[in-house]
Amino acid sequence: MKLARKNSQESEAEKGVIHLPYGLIGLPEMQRFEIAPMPGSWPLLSIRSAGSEELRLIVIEPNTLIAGYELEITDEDAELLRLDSADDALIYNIVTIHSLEPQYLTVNLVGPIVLNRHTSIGKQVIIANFEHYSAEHALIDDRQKDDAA
Amino acid sequence: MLVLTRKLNEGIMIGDEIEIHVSRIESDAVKICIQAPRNLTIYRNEIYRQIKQSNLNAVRKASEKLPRLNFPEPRPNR
Repeated sequence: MKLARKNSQESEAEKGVIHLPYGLIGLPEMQRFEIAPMPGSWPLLSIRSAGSEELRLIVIEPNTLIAGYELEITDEDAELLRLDSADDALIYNIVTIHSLEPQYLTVNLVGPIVLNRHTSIGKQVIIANFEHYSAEHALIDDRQKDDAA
Repeated sequence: MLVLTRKLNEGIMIGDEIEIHVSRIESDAVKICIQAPRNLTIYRNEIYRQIKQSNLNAVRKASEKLPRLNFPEPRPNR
């Protein structure tokens, strides 16, 4: 029994399927996603909802991309997601495309999707140290480059 | 909208499970304690609105084709 359950979880994770039982903040129906790299646009990832209307978000894993990003989550969220240590968690931050020419993309550092890597269950949380970070942190900003040209 | 007046250490119940009480009053700030079931997330409303708006701005139809985006950082060696 135990093995079978573990296998089915692994195969979900292998397919890149993640579950957010509470949906996204303001979008509670967006609960099940498939995650995939975006060819030619590393390190951006695409997460696609499998709902009535197919929707997509762009996310990044912040690890080495956002210098000095040290998020803290509340004990309630850690308990809810059954995270015993930081190693159990995967973090995705949602990217907003404000403009394409010039490219201006921001990343939401205040409300990341935090995932338990063992269960593939996650939640969009508001980080406990939200005061230190921006919900619109510039990721790609070519606006000034364009002005100078 | 229901509007109630509460004094220090008084509270309100919302249904049977959500309890809110006023624990401190200062000149321009009120400290409130909230007890609610674990499956309800409690947000400061300005942050809730900000993140909701950010999500709405970020979400796209899956059918919409995305252009190649130029990220400035080089791919690290593995």
